[in-house]
Amino acid sequence: MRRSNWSPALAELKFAGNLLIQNRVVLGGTIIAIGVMLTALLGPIIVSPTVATDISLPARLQPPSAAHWLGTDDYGRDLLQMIILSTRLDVIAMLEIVGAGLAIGVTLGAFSGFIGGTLDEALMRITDIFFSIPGLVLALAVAAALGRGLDNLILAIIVVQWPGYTRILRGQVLAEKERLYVDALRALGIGRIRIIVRHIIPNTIYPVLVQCTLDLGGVILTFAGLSFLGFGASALTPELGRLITAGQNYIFEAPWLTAFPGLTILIISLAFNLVGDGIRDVLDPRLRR
Amino acid sequence: MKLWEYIVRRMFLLIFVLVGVTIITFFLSQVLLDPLALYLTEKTPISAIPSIIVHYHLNDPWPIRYGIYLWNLLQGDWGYSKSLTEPVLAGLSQRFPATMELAIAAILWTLVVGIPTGIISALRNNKLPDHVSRLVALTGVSTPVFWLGLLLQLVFFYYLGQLGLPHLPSNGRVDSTLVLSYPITTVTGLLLVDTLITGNWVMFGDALAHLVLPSFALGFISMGVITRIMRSSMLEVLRQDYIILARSKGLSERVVIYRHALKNAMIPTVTVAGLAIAGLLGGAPLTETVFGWPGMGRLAVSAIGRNDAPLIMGFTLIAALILVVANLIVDILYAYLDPRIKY
Repeated sequence: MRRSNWSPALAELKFAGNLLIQNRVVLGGTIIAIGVMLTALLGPIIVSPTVATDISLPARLQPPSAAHWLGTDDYGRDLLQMIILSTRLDVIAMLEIVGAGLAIGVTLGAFSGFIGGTLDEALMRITDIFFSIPGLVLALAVAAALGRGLDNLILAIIVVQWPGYTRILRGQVLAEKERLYVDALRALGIGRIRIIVRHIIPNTIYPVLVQCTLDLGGVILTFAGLSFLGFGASALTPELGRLITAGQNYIFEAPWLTAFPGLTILIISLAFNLVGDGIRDVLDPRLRR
Repeated sequence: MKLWEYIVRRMFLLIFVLVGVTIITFFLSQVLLDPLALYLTEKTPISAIPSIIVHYHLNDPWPIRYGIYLWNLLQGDWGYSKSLTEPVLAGLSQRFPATMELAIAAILWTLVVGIPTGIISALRNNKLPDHVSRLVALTGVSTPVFWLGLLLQLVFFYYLGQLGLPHLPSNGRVDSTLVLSYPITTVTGLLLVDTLITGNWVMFGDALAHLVLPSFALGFISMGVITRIMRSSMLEVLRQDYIILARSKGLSERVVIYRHALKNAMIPTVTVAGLAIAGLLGGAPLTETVFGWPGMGRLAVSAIGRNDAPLIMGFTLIAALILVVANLIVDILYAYLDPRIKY
């Protein structure tokens, strides 16, 4: 960040830390989010990936017990282990989608705002068009056109995600490019691309990052929802939406098969929403009164 | 600029955006997918293929093909659905009322629960009720709607039924055997309205019971959003001078809040309620699938399994149309509600 000395930055950090600690709900969300990331990271170490193909029909549809904490599914696989493996897939997909959306949005938004003119006008009208289709419907249409498969589903949701980031960053850049230091850089003979990449983007990216955090929770819902409908991973792949698709066939005789994977999606989404909400509060100047 | 000039300008923008949406659906259905597949069946002789290509302009340059596509759309020819064996527009419009009825009921749930919760949250700012409502609101936006639907069925249909208690139906719009004895006359397609105006009380009750669970599941996503907006705009309004004046002249707290503050605090909520329609339309395919609700969303989902691209693109177009028109109405309403807004 562009700071002349470090003491205001430190004060800022301290303020943010205090606000997070005071708000226990946000703190709780942060702790759960860290737990989710660790589960995703360590999933294949905690649980053997062969669990997914370890079919044992005599053990099918067992209710939660000491041996199987969350019960077993219709193939006799331990549900807790399946959920841990699935969490990894869902969380990685979620990060890929938001990461790719961010990369596209930041690049287009920065050039759109900085260069302006026809390029800017055209890009903004294109984002208008994307905003006029409900997100999940657009993702559904794109996924249907691309065909089934995990990569296609991820691509379909990226198509929905980028316009938001483009708009936010472009707005930031419009204000930033009027500042004196940009004129100074130009006067020094520094090229446009270098100014955008080295100076404009680092100074304008924070609001977009906040939006990304806020979006993580929604993206995993869209991903799991479309998986539930049959897009994305194949039937035997451990994925949370898929687990619910399988579980709903046994909703009355084995409700745990539906309840626990859904609860996992809820917890992951809620944790990231709490973190995003907290970060937004920290950055909201109105709360400092 | 006057209000009507603003409306006219917005209408032009609306047309531009909708044309843009057709470019997207054209690209998805005609460029990414092979349009020839739409006209082929197992019985099509190979010798007929060249004449099909010529007849439907499949080898023409893209701009010409897009022109034909757009022209057909404007004529009401949205393509033919293989899985329905009828034109796309006919299939969608037949299921449109079911989706509308579900969406309207979901909006009602959202407002009836969201607005009071938001007000309570604002009045108990940063106290326990506020924290609880924040958590509930965030839980709402974090809940997978299809999962909530399944759980509601489990509790209010299955468990209540097991206990021998009156329980809510979990599938469809009406009881399929009951409707044989009390047939419904279709007027608007909205079952609650149709049964009400024809005095068919038995089916009115049945349709209402069928609507409760799916509409609650669908509305639950937006409830939290409405709560949070209501809370923050209420807090904003309560800080204003005229509220301090109202309090200082000795008005009771109830009059201050419900007579003076609520009206102004409602303005941002109306806007967001319009935006929530996007969430409702997105949630429709999932909710309708889980509850066997015979609407457009479930139709689109079933079309996916049968590679019925025209039907999916038709649903996309209708969803965009509803969203764009809803936003226009909200903007006009906003200008009407808040006379300070100038264009």
